[in-house]
Amino acid sequence: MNTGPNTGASPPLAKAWALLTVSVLTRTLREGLVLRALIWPALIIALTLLVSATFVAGLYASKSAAVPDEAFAEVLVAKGLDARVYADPEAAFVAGEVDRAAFEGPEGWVILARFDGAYTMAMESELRARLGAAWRPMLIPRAGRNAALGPTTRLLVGLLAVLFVLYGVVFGAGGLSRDQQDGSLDAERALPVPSWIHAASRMGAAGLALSVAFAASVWLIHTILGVSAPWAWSVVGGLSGLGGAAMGLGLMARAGRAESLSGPLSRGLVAVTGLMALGYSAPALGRHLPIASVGALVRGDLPGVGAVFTTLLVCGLAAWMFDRSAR
Amino acid sequence: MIRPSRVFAIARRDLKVVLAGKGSWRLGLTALALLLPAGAMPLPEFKTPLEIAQAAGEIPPALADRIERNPRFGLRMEGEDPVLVHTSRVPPPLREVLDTLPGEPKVRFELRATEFPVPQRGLLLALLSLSLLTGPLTESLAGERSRKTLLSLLTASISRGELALGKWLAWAGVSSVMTLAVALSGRVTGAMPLGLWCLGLPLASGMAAALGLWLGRDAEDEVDGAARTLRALPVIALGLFGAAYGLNMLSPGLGAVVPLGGALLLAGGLITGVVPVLGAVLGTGLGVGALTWSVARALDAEGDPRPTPALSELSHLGVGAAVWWLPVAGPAAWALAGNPDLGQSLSPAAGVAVGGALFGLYALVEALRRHWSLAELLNLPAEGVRSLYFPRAALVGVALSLSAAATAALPFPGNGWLYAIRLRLSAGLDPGWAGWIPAALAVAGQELMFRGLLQRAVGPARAGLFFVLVCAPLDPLRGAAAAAALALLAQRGGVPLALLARLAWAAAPESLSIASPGGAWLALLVAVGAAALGAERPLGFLGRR
Amino acid sequence: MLRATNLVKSFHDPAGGVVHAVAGLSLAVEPGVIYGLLGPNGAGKTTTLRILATLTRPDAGEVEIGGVDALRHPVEARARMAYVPAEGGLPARLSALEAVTLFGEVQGVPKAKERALQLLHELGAGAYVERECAQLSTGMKRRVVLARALMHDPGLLLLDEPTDGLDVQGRLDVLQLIQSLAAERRAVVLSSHIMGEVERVCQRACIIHRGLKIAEGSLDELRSLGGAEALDDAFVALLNAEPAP
Repeated sequence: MNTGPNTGASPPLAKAWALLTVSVLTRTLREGLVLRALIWPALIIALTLLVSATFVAGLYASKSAAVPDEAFAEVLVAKGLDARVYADPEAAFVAGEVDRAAFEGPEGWVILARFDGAYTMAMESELRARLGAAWRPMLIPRAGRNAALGPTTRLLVGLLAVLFVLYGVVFGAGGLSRDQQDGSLDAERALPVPSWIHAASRMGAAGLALSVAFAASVWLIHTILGVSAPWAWSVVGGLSGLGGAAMGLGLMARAGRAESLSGPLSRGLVAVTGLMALGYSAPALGRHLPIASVGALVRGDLPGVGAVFTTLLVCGLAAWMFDRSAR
Repeated sequence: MIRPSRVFAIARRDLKVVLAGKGSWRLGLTALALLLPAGAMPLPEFKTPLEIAQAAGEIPPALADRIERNPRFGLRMEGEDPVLVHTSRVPPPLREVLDTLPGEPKVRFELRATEFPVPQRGLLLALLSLSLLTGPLTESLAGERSRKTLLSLLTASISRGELALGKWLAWAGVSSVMTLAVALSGRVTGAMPLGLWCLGLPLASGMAAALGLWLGRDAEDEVDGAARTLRALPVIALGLFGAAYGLNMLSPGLGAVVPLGGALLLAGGLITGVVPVLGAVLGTGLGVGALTWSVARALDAEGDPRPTPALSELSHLGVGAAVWWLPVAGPAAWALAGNPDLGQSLSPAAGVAVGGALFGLYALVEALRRHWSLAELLNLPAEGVRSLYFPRAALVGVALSLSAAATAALPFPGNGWLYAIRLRLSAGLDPGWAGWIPAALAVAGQELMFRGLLQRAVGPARAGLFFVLVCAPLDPLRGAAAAAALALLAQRGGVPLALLARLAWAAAPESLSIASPGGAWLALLVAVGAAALGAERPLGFLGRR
Repeated sequence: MLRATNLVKSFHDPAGGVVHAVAGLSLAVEPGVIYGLLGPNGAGKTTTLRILATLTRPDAGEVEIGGVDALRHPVEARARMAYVPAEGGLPARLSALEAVTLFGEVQGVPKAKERALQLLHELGAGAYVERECAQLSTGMKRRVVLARALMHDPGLLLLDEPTDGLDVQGRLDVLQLIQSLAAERRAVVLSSHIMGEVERVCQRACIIHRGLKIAEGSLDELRSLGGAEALDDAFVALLNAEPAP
């Protein structure tokens, strides 16, 4: 039924934003390159971890040990080592027959090991217990393991977050540049909604895709390595991805059609690198800023509520620049 | 045919096109911002946590003034006699302090580990130059393609080799000049003495430029090119560096021949001597040649329609395997690596939950990409689901739950790391042990992925095969029977019907399981038979759709 | 100047089928002749032009440009011809003079800057030589693209829809330019689906449909083959006479 000409009424802003966001998101995900970009980093990290574990297995899985007496050998066997009695444990070690040796030298007991790790530590711990030493090492209990691995996992997930923030800049600037070139931006801007809604939908779509992909990556790595504060990482990574997309979009909008992608892209990459460096060197401040909060969390500082507001501020600024570029 | 004058003309044109206007000073400023701090600024002296005697927990009063208290440090002390040091490794400075405790017997700990040489700052310069090239290289090939200027170049009376080489020369040259200038400034400030390592910078720049062009050889536009380069260049660079480093550990100098890896070793000061340096020049030079040749070949087919990748179906299998195996079975690898405690401390239930969630996420994203409605993703039949199928689905689920003993039909080692992996991967068919929420997430994700997305996209037979390979690779016979029953159910009522069977299967108590393998196989037959009963084409699921 | 014999080119479509873009096409164009390549969308015009421009390698057939086997010696063949794509492809941030000069230098043209200036003036773009390409009008861009194509003085010009996007005056100017280029004894192959401009400038033409040449000859011969007075009507009649696939 023909209802007559359009009366010119605009759709509600929230509905327009949601529809445009889904449209941009679908368009973005339909590009295989974007999907690959979002999926592969976590898979590569997880696979690298497991390949490294297998590689390390070659180095560390040896349980061989040479000791001078049967009683000590029995204690170590109970701890899972392949301990045997040698008349000269040092010679067996030097000859490469074993990877650990314990013996009493002229100046006291000596432990030789080709690598440290759980079995070497168990050997030292048992020897010190046997000698009644004032201290002994103990393999860290499970409850404390996350804290022990904390700096390593924080660095690893931090590197992943850096990549997602860089993606944010590329998606924000690149998506706009592409739409400027093929003319679809002009068609979008002709819709009866305020211009800034287009910026908001682009940031929404990029933020949503990056947040979900980053959170999935963090939880995948968490299952393999145990990431400390995976929820905090999910929030910080999502906010920073959104911040990166906003920066990319704002810089590209400011550059306009006169400049190709590489200029705003380079400026965006330098800016996010600087922000992350700021967060790392001044975590007390960085935890309240978008992108910088990644650097702060690598140092162990959980994000502050301020990070949400400052990210929204950056988004608002990017939308303003976008709106201004349309005039 | 390679004419140097044409190659230089192309390089000059490329630089002009990309750096026209403010492009040149922008690139210069970016280079300064990235490279100068890395190359010229004196680095502050700082010690890694393992170089300082620090600890958390109860530090003995006798040592309080010599051990720094750091509540965040992953080493915790406890008790007084003896002092227990909970850690995965005792740092040497702390060991020195601890050995001074009163009454401590003399125990000398000597680690005769393989020495891992540390690269110099030149490596950082070389790696940063890679990120510097991302923008210009993207513009040089993908950008020219999207702005249609590449087409006119391709009809000029130059060969594809000259074109590829000219573009390579432009950016390898710019990056080399920049990194060498920064190295020189490092010499002026005293941060880096000049040496043979400097040769690694232009070599790395050259290979990075060739890699960047190669990665963008069929990129549609700058966004495509930048995303590819950002994603792949660091991974390739670090991978080749790792390979070169490893080879160098096996035999000093051997790593030099790895393309790019050798150049990075040289820049990092990890190889010296004329022969290894020549090896680096040769290896990286060959790498540049091969990649540039490949770019020239790609330019030859510029604009021709590309064949659809034949591996698209296999990519579902690859991603499916990765998102399930990594979180579910991955932690078992730590036992293999001599750290069983780490593997055991990671919750298998979390792995099952994350694996299931990732299946679901992948299926949802794929459905969004294909513009599928929810009904299409759930594979719902157009005519609706007949109510009598629901009790039948529950019956199939219960029958499947009785079949655990059928696993024993295939011989399998009763211990060892493969057995540990098999135990974890059993969550593919029987996730009940992981708890209610992980099990529900796992079966929901699996059904969305295999009976929803894949059954609709590649047909029930292949979807079933993928299910067996991904979710039951070490229990394939039982997996195949379950896949057939679930595929038949999904043909009648889509994902909801299969999901109902899975939930009944997961919820049925373990005590119901039939102990004898024969009985278990009978249960499997009942499950498949019940699912197939009344179907117009009981073997229809073997068809493509 | 141009001789193409039995060109064949097939592509695989995404569904796994085979598309015969060009199926045994032959054509010859002498110096001084403007030859029209006509056909509906998807007929194979662009693929044919791309084969002639050495951008796409045919599955079978031969192409000879100025006596050079273009499939065996593409670089030498390119030195004798110029391809002007529908999208001009000018670097946005370079001036018109820079864009033309640099293209000449790439092709080894001596005194490229002087020649670029001369050509831009001859083609009526002399007042815009220092202006950035992005700021030129569509008609002026077309002139700059033609100047670029003429830098190495080619004997054959392959023009893919050269008046696309131009206004009436711009269209007339470009057609006039094409006629003047043919008057300099250059062979011109022009792909178009605007019959009016084909009638205005072409001496000979061929109609391609589904990769096959269904008619060729002078414009009068084509009109008579189609049994119509207007080339438009003859074109439609000839297409409709073809059996459905």
